[in-house]
Amino acid sequence: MSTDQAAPERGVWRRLFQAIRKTGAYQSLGQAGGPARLSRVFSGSFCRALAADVSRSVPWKAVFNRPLPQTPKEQSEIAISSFWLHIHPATITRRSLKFSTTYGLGGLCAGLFMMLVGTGVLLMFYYVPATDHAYKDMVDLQHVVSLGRLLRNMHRWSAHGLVVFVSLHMFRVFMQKAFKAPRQLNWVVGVILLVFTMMLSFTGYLLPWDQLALWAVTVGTNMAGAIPIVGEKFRFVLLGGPTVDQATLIRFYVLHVVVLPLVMFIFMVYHFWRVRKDGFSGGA
Amino acid sequence: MATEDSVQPVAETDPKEYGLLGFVQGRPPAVADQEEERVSVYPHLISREFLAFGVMFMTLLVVSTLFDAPLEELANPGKTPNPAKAPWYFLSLQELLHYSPPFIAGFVVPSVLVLTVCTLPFFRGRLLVVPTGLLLATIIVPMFDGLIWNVIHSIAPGFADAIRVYGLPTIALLILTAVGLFKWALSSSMDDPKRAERISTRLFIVFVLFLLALVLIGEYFRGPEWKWVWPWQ
Amino acid sequence: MPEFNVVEEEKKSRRFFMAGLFAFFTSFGLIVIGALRYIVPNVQYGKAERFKVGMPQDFPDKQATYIADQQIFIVREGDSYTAISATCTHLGCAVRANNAAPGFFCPCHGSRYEADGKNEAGPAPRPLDTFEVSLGHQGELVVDKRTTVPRGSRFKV
Ligand code: HEM
Ligand code: FES
Repeated sequence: MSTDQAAPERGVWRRLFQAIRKTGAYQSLGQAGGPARLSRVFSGSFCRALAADVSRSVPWKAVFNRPLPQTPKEQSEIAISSFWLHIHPATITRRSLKFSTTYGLGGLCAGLFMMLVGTGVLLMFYYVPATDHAYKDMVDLQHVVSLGRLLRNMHRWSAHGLVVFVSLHMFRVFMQKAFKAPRQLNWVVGVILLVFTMMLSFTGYLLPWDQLALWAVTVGTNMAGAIPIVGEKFRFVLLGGPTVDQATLIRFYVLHVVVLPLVMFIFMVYHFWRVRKDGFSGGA
Repeated sequence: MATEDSVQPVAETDPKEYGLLGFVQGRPPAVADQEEERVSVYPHLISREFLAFGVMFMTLLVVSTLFDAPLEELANPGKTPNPAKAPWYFLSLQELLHYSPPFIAGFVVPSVLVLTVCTLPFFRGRLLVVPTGLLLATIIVPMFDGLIWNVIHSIAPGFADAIRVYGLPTIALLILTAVGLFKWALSSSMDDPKRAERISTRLFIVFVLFLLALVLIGEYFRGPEWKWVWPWQ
Repeated sequence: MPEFNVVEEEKKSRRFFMAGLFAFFTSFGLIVIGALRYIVPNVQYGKAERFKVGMPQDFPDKQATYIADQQIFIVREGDSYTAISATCTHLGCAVRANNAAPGFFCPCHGSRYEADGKNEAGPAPRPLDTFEVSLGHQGELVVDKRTTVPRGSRFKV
């Protein structure tokens, strides 16, 4: 009885080993003997063979429909036909690819935005936007919640990073005069993104409900109150009352976690689309 | 009248089918790019993007492990910390707040900056010195608001008090600057487009440096009651 | 038989369509603007604006006592009392009493005020408010932040 059961199992393992031996990755390892093996692992041919093998496996195909492209023709088609890659053109010039063309700045901004959304959503699991709760939650995140401190730090530093890199990105666009026709509108969209970055930072600044937060927002919103005629009303609506209090906290919270990121995301997508339509200044 | 026989079967000579994707203005991009060497986005660009994201993620992890985000005492509406500083990217505005009324530093300056940056690409050629010059003026002029106001005050105190909150000296000076910049842009000294572009670029760089300087001053050179301190004090 | 003018008819129907479109967007826009009223709050659940601050004799003489949760100073001089706002008239930071000389300073942008609240230096555009003081039923001082009185007014007990 027990031998009967063991037999098919052995068969499964044997078949698995045979399958692995047949893969390109295994063969690319075996091609070099002795100490050269390790260098082969790092030399790309192993990685490439491994990627090709993985992308031919059943689970990969179930998700992505097709294996990773191998031939140049397949490679140029994938950017168009894959949903995730189709914000890119099929081919670009070598000049666009050069680091000194973009310094990777726009892409870095997009990456930081994704980091902010990810870490921000995780922080929301613990944070409660109430004046008698918010500060304690921040202290808890620092001292009690596993990885809470790391997540809060990552959220905070990416936010600062976004302000820095959006500014640098704008500076490079200016220095390369990439805002000139036909890219004027995309420059304006860029400015809107910069303003949204600032507004997100400002609303997020209040949420820890510490001394820094309260007074920065008091001073900041009082500046809005200095606008003639509409200023006081505007400030009242922004704060939800005459002073920075519970009503302000929930307003800033809603703006910070839903309204501003959503609108900014829409503008970002439009920004990318315009880079394609206007033609990238480095040659699209 | 054409019969069906007279229609040539195109498909036999040219098996491709073309669909119209859209109309675009200007030169066909292919013509300009013909000489340039092209590579496929996959894997050349995609791999770089993954690498950049990886480096960014790792850097962020290291930085976040080493440095903690600040968290001060619980908010206390009765006690303002001394000094009370805005986040660093607003420190340039806070520094201007020191010289000019809130209506200027908190509303006029940010609005003029954003609007000028927005319209900047619509100024072409020699006219580009107008927005770039105005950007620079917008952060320098408010610093003299108090000074000019003092002069007006010594002549007509009542009038000076009435206009203080509206920062009229700054607004008047900014309008004058804008007019002056237009005149300068159209003057013969800007006839050389290369020179005009060089000047506008420099104006923009000086503007950025000024903003940076104001941020650094606010961060490191301002102590209690917003008085000047040296960083090592 | 009336002549059927295609061009005229087309113009008419286009005009009708444009009018409809205009009506649609105008009414839609008005509704959206009206709906903005939603974000203006109607009720406030804040602190009371009129409140007791303590018995007159408990305040130290010739000194400004800070009532932190109401952002006011009670200044006593003999048997007269003044309630001076601690909210800076520049941008709303809480001012503090000077250490040595009488008067106040603001930690945010360095405004300075004299002992009676008059702005003397810095960006503050006007003096600190002075609030009305009265006596409550048990002889305690009551301050009403809704009523300002001229600078220098004193309440004699
Ligand atoms: C969250 C903010 C932003 C993101 C995520 C973003 C992203 C990008 C990306 C990925 C590109 C492609 C080229 C590159 O990487 O440099 C790009 C191009 C561009 N960006 Fe941004 N950007 C942002 C903000 C801005 C700002 C503040 C401006 C200017 C005011 C701006 C103006 C432009 C223009 C004009 C281009 C076309 C440049 C060219 O064709 O060379 N963007 N942006
Ligand atoms: S808020 Fe007091 S000086 Fe600005």
